[in-house]
Amino acid sequence: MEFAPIRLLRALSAGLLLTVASAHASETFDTRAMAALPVQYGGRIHPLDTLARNSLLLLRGKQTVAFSRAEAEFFAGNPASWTDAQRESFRKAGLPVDDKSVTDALAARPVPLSRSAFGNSLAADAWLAEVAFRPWVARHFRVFRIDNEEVQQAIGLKVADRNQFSWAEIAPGMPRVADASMHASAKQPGERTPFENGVMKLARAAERHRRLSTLTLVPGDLPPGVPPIREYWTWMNTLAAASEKQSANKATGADAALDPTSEKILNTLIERYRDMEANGDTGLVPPPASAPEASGKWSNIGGALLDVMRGRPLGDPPILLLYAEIADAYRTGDNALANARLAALAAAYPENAPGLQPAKVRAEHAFNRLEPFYKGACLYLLAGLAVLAGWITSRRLPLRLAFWTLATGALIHTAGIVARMWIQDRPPVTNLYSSAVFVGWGAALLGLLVERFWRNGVGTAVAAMVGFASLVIAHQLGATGDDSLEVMRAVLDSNFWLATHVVVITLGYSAMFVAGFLAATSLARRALDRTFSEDTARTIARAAYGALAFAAITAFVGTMLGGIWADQSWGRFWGWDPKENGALLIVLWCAVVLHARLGGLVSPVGFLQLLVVGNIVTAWSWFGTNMLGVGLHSYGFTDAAFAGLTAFVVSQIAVIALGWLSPRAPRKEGPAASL
Amino acid sequence: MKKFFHHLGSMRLTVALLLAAMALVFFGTLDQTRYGIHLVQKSYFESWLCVFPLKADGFRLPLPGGFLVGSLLTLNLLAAHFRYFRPSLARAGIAVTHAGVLLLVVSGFLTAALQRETLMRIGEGESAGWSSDLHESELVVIDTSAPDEDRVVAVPEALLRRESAAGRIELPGMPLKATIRAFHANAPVVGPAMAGSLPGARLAGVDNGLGAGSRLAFAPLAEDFSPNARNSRTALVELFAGDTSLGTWLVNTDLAASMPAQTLEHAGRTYEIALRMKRTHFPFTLHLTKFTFDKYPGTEIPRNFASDVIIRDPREAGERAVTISMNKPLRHGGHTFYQAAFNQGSEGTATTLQVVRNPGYILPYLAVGLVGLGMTIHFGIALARFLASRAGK
Repeated sequence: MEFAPIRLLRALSAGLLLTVASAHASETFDTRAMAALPVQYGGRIHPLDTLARNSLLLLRGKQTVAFSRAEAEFFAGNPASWTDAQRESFRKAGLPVDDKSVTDALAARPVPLSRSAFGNSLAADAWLAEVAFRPWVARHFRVFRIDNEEVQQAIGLKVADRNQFSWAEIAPGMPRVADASMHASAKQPGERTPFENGVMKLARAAERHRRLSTLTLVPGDLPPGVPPIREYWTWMNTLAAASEKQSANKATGADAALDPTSEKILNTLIERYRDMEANGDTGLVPPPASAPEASGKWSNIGGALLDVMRGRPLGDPPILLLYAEIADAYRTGDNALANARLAALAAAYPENAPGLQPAKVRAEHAFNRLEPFYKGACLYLLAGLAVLAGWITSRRLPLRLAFWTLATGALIHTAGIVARMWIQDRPPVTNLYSSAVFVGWGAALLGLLVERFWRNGVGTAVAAMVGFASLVIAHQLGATGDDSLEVMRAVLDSNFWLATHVVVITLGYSAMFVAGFLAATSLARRALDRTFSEDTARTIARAAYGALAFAAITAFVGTMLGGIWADQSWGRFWGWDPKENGALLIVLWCAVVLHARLGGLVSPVGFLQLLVVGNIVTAWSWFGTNMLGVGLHSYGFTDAAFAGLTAFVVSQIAVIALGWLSPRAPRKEGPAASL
Repeated sequence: MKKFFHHLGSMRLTVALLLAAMALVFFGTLDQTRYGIHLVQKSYFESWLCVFPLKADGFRLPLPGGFLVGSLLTLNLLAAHFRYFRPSLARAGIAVTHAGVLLLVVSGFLTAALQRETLMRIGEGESAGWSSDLHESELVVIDTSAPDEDRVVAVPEALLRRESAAGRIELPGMPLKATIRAFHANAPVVGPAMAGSLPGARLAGVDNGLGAGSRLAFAPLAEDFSPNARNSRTALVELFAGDTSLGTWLVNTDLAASMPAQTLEHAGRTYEIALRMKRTHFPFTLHLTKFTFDKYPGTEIPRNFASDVIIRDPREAGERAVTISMNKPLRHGGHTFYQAAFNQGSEGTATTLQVVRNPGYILPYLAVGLVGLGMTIHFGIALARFLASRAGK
C-alpha cells in the first residue's frame, strides 16, 4: 500500500517535470534512458545497451564508433551552414552530401558525437538509436572493420588508407560475401583460411546490422518520410475492418468479402509480419503474465503485430506504439516528446513480466557503463609501475602506494565479479571470458597475500602483472561481440558443478601463474638487478613453493571434480577430452616440479625455471586446447589468440634463459651463492 | 638386484615417468584432432606402446603407452615406499596422497578393462531392452521359425575382419556355416543408379537377398575416426549347408537399421541374416513415455533434454517412472543411463540414451578423496610450520 500523500507528491512532481521538460525544448535526447530498456536477446533479458555494445564489438571490435574529422564535421554539423568548400571536401571524403534524406535528417538532428583527446566518437547506445531510428543516416557510418585485404577486394573496395567501411559501401558487394561465407561455413572450423574466416565474420556483422536497422525497434525499411506509427494504424484499421466484416457475415449468414484493396493490404501485411517474426531476433514485448506459455518468449516487432490478430491489443502494453512514437520524435528532433515517451515506455513493462527482473537489467546497464574490469586493469598497471619505481629508487613509499593501489583495483575487480554473478545467477566462471577475469582476480588476491607476508613488492608486482594481463586477455576475448553473460547450454547448465569444478580449476590456473610469475620476477631480477639479495631470492622461492603447493591441490581437486561431474553426467570419469588432458598436464607438471625439488634433482635456479615452464603448461591447458576444436570444452577461438599464445611461450622461454646468465649482484661466499 | 631395486624406487625415475606421461597426454591430445577421441584413447592411453602421429609416413615419435607408464609408476611408487617410508606424522600426508594416486591408476586400468559404453534408442511410446555398440558390429543369423522365441547366433566383428574366402565359420546350433567373402569397415551401400557417381563404387555381385534384388553397389572408404563419424560396415557373406553353397548376401549396418530383414529358407526353417551394431541385452526394459527438448526463449540454444521413462524389471515388483535428463542419469541394474541425443522426424520422436557399465566407478571417488586429503595434510603441516616459524621471529 502506498500512502495517498506520497502518491499525490509523485503526481505533482511528475507534472512539474513535464512542464519543465516542455519548457526546455532544447534538452537532449535521453540516450541513457533508452539504453536501459529491457529486451530479450540470445535467450535472456538484458538492457538495450548490452545489445548495442555487443553489436559494435561484433562489427568493429570496439564499444564506440570512431569518426574522422571530415566525418565528424559532416554528421555533427548543420547542413544549412555548410560552405561550398566544406561540401566539396565532404564529397571528396565520400560522404553523402547530395543525399537529401541524410541532409534533411541532419538538419533536424545532428548526430550526437562526443569529442575527446582521442578524436570524435559515437557511444554504443547513441549509435543504436541512429541505426534503429534513422537507418538512412547510420548506413553511412564506417562501422564495419575489415582487416583482411582479400575480403576488401571481394566486396570491390579498393581503399588503401582505411579498414573501416560503411553499410552503404559494403552493401553492393554483400551478395558475393554471403555466397563465400556459405561455402566457408560448410568447412570444419580448423580448415578455414583467413579469407574464409573474414567473410564469415563480415557476413555475421552485416546480418546483425541489417536486423538492427530494419526489424529491431521499429520497421526500418519504410521511407524516411513515413512514421512507423502510420503503418501500425493501417494494420489495425484493416484488421478492424476485416473482423467487422467477419462478424457481420456471421450475423447475416452471407459470405461477403472485404473490398479487394483492403484484402490485398491485409494479406501483404500478414506476410510481412510473419517474415519479420521469423527473422527478428530481439524480443520487445513480454508475454502476458497470465499466458501459460512455458517458453517465456518475448514478441519481436513482427510477433507483436501478429499478436493483435491473436487477440492481444497493440496497446497492451503499448511498447511497440511508444517505440514508434520515440522514433518519430527522434527523427523530427523533438527531444521533449521523445523523452516523455521514453519515460512512459520505461513504465510500460508489467511488473510480473516473465523473465524480467528490472533490478538486474538496471544493474547490467550500470555494470556496462562503469566498466569495473577496465578500471581494475588500469589500477593494476599503475600498481605495477609503482613497484618498479620502488625497486629502482630503493624506497618504501612507492611500494606501499603500489600495494594500496592494487588492493583498490582488486576491490573493484571483486565488485565486478560479484555483480556479474548476481546479474547472471551463476558462479563466477561460465565461459572463457569469465575464466580470464577470474584467473586475474585469484592471482591478485594471492599476490596480495604474498605481499602481506614479505612486504618487498614482489607479491604486488606479480599480482599486478597477472591481474593486468588476464584482464587484457578478457578484454580481447570480449571483443568478439559474443554476449559474455550468455545463457548456458544444456550440458553445462549446472550451477553446482560450475561452482566447484570450474571455479577450483580456475583458481589452480591463478596459483600456477602466481608461482610462475614469482619465479620469473626472481629470475629477471637476479639477472638484471644489482641490488637483488640472496635473502630476497630465498623468500621469493618460498612464496613460489607455497603458490605451487596451492596450485597442486587446486589443480588436482579441480580436475578430479571435473571427472566426477563427467561421471555424473555422461558416465565416464575420464574421457580424455583435450581440456581434461590439459588440466591433467598441469597436475602432472606440479608433480614433476615437487618431486624434482624434493629429490634434489634441480638447483634453486632450476626450480624457478621449472616454475616458469609451468606458465607455458598452464597457458596451453587454458587456451591451447581450445584451439584444437575438439571435445566438449571447445568453445570457439580466433587466429589472433594463437599468435598471442605463441608470443607468450617465446617470452617465457626467454625468461627461462635468463636463469642461465650469471647473477648481476656481486657474489657472496657460501653455499647459497648459486641462487 | 639391489641396484635395480634402488633405481626402481628412485625419484629420478618418478620424474622421468611423469614427463613421459605428459608427453603421452600432449601428443595424444594433438592426434585427437585427426583420429578422434575413441581411437586415441585405445592407442595412446590404453596401450603399452604407441607412436605419434598414429598414421603417417616419415618420422614418427615412439612413446610409452598409458599402460606402460601406469605400471612403471605403480612399481616406482611401491619400491620408493618400501625403501624410504618410515611411519611418522610428517610423512603421513605423502603416504595418503600416494595411496590415492595408486588407487587412481588401478581404477584407470579397471575402467579400461571393464567399462562398456553402448547406446539405447527408444521411440516415444515404445520400449527397448537392448542397446547397441558405437564402434563394433556383429553378423547375426537368426532362426525365426519358432513362434515365441528366436535363436540368435552372433559372429563378432574381430572374426569378420579376418575375412577369408576359404575359412568357414560354424554357427552353433544351426545346420549352417558362413564364409566372409569381404568385410569393409566403412562402405556405404547405394542403388545401381548412384553407383556411377560414387568413386570406387562396385556392384555387390551377390545372388541373394536385397543386394541381388535391387542390384546394390557399395563404395569402400577409409574408416573414419573423427568424433562424430558414422562408419557404414559392409560384408559379403556366403552361407553353406554342409558343403553346398546357399548363395551370397550383402549385409550392411545401415541396411539392417532401415530395411526389412533379409531372410532365407532352409530345411523348413526361416533364418534372418544381418550385419548390425553389436547388441547388449538387459534383463529389463525401458519404456519412453515422453521426450522433452527445451530451448532458451527466442533462440535455438538447448536448455534441457529429458526423457520420461518407465522401468519394467521382472526382478522388481511393479513399474517405476523416472526422468532422465542432462546431468541427471538413471542408475539401474549395474548400468547407468545418460541422456545423449534425440531424433525428431516424421516418424516421431526418439531418444538416445548412453548406457554405461563400469563396476569400478566408485574407485576414482575414493582415490580423489585420498589424494585431496593427503595433499591437504602434507601442505597443511608445511604451512603450519611456516606460520609458527614466522610467529617465533
